[in-house]
Amino acid sequence: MPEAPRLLRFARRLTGEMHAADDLVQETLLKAWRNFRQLQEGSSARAWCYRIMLNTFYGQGRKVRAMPATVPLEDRVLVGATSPGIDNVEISQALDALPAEHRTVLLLGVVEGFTCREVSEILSVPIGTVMSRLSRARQSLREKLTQGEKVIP
Amino acid sequence: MNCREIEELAPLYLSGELDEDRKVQFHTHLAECRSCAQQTEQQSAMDERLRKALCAGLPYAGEIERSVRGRIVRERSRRWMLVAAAALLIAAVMGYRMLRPERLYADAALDHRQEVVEHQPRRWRTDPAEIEKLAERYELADLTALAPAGYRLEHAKMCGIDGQPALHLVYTNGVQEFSVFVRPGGGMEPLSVHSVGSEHLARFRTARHEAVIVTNGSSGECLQFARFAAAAL
Repeated sequence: MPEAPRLLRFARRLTGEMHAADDLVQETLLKAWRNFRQLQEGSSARAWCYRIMLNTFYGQGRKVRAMPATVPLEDRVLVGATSPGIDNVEISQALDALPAEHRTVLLLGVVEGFTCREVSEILSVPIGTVMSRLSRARQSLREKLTQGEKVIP
Repeated sequence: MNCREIEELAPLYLSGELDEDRKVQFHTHLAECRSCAQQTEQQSAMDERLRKALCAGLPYAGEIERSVRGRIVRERSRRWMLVAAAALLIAAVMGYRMLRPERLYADAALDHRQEVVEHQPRRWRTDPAEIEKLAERYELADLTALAPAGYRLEHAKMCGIDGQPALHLVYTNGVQEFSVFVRPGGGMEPLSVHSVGSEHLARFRTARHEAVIVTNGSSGECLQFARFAAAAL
């Protein structure tokens, strides 16, 4: 299960809760094991796992996390990096302030390193939609970080 | 490529998905357009900043992996237990059918008593051609060969014994009547003799058939008839 740490990182961002993230990763890995035969030849097992995770998360009737208000700051810092710095906290906060669909494409496309095509398969949306969401997400994140830099002396 | 196309294709450029031709066109435009070059540079720098901030370390997932492995082991053993339980059930049902043919004897004895001894009305086939057709279904070629010399086939019909269809043949020598029940089901089982009430029965299996002989005569007569039929089948 070499993907488990990466899945956990993504799950913590998705759920905003440490224990919920642990449960989500467990459920995802079990579903992947149970349905391994459904994985089509030639498709990415890694992308498939992320797809299962997102389907499981939203299939549980969970609402899209608007703001991770329930997660203490130190947890969010821990989520992102081993050595939290000001930049990490700022980025983390700016990312959390984005709409869920923007946050998701940035996490998948930039942080997890999936291609636009893979992200489109994970989210079951056309690749053009992924591209436009990524562009808007990058723009919004930059604006939020610029605003933050203006406030912090 | 114009500025709008650059803006549209930037995500594919940054994820390394542009083919060689379009990458060359993209670079050519960036070299000529300061605004697009700056925009792309900023996006790339922000991606790097995001990765640096969120990918600096991976969380420890050892406990989760251990827990998942445990659940997989439990699920696997549960699946095997289900398979084993199903196999046992099938074996038990087959064993019951093979080892406890009481119902078969009871049904055959009752049919013989009601239909042959008491002559309760039934739709018997007496026309040899019709009987031959029935026999063909059970891969029985020569029905006269089933009975010893001096016996003739009186009539026949389809019936159900032990929940399965069978061919009921009645032979007589003018004094004694014998019911012969034949159904498909091989397995090579030697001749055995039984009795239900005043009826004597003999049962055997050949490579392709299972047969039960019933008579109100003696058990010796029953055995003699059955030996002859077993040799013919």
